[in-house]
Amino acid sequence: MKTLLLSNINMKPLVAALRPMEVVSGEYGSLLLDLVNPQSVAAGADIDRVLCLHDSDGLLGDALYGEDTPDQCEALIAALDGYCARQPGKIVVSHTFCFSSARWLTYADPLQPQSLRTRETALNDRLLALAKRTPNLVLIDLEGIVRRHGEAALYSPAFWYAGRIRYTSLGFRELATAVQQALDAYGNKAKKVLVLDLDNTLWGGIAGETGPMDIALSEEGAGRCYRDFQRALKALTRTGVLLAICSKNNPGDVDEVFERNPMMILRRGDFASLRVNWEPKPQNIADIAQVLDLGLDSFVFLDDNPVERSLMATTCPEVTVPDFPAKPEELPGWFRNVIVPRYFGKYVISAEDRNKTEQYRANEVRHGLAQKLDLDSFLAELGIDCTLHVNEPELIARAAQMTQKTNQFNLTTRRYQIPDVKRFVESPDHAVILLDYKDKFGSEGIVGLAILDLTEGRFDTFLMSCRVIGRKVEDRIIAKAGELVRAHGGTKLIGELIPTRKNGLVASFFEDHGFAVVKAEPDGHKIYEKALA
Amino acid sequence: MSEQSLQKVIALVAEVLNVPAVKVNVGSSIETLQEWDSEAHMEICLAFEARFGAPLDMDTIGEVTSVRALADLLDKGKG
Repeated sequence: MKTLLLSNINMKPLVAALRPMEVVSGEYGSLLLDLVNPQSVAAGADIDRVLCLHDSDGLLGDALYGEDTPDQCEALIAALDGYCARQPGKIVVSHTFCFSSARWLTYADPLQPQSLRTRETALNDRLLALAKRTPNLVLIDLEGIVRRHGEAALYSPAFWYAGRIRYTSLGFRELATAVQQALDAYGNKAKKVLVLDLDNTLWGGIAGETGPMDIALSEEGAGRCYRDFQRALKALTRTGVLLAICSKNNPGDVDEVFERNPMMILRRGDFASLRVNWEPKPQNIADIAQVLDLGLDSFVFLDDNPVERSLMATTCPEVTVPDFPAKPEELPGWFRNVIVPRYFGKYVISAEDRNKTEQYRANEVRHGLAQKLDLDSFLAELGIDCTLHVNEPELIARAAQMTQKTNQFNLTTRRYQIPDVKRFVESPDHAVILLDYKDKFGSEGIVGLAILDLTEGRFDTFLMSCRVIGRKVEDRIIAKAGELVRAHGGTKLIGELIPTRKNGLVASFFEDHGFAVVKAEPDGHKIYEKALA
Repeated sequence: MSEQSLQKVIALVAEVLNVPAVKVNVGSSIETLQEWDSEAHMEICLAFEARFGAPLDMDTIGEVTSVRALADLLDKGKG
């Protein structure tokens, strides 16, 4: 994977800051030319990603000083638009316009027709609109970085006038981190579960000693630090991250906090799973992983106690265990600025993400019902209601997200980015089938995906979310696929199994659904066929 | 110019230029090393600032174009 860096200024030091990412730098100042010229280095087949990190002041030129001269900002938006459309297979990373804070109109600036502030907002509105309709454009909020560190820390006048280098080494580091994190977020590399300790983590003090009302949790002082931390955690659940509790406490003491302390922002229902007992935490976290049916490598563990952290890190090395801030006042900012972007960065937030906790909690209730009934009567009791979507452009991001995140019920484990799925949706020889699941306990949202090659009748991809495993809804996707292939003139369906370390669950999936093996490789790779009636 | 500063600067220059440390010595400069061009010089100065915590002004960036000058600057920063 090769990445090209383009700019209108000298951004070469970013190449070192981005290592180990393999980055080549375009010619100095070649940003606009390389984007619009179809023969440029940016069009090369060996380039997978292009970083377009411009200097906004430079693009604005003399207009920055109120001169009525044309600037290149509009040209950049048009160039990004054209390039992304011509190169749908390449991922383009750019950032918002961010002019220097100095205004030649000083305090009159916001009120004047030539206002720089207004111009910046208008340009960014257009850039954001472009990013919303361009699946292969990833936009970074540069203003956010500048707001956090300040121009004085990020920009260096000495290096600027000595060699057209705008940023300080801190600036390059922050920009490199943002690029890396935005690409991870775009590629759905985020962790899924945040497991939290309670005493001195979710609130100050020890509930078992002070009682439920005297823990530090309030709108003042240290209590406010923990309350703001809880607010940030609540916001995180709205992006599809599951919260869980792993605490050494008497369950009764913790129940009282949830029931009686009115300062708790987080309620019991905000947690997908709770383990309050005196068992070792690594054992509890393994239990949580099993109940939620998620791998430990998607878990982050936060605990103020260094002994617990160290035990977790050595016993469960797959779990991510960050350090914990020494002072409560650092907790909310550290969590928002470091932990969330580093481990839970999202680029697209789907409707499923917003309701994820409810879906997992409903799963626990369904588990309970399943134990009381045999499978078929259980399924009948559930009142399952599925909708199938075929080639729905609105669901492309969700489909790409599923190919990235699904490991267990995944027959071929082919990972796709948004532009890849878009190609399948637009191709007349392919069908992207998505299954929307609902039952009497609630909606699970889009939980099944098949990508079908209509000409061959072949399942390129077949996957289901673990949340609906065992409910026989995969039959509906196979039936729909048969219908589509027949309409395309085909007479059979072809299945494929590529075994991985994690997909043992589906080793006999096609056999179980009436397919016959027609080819089996020594490595377990199998091809199946089933004639269409 | 102290030996300690000299070694630190040689290590830094070799690292930024991505050449073996034996290729860099007290006589190396923007004139003698092919890899040390004007762009690489900016990267050397940025790395110098970041590693030794000494902010460079514009004139200094233009002057410290040799290992000797960088090592002298490092000594001066300490004094």
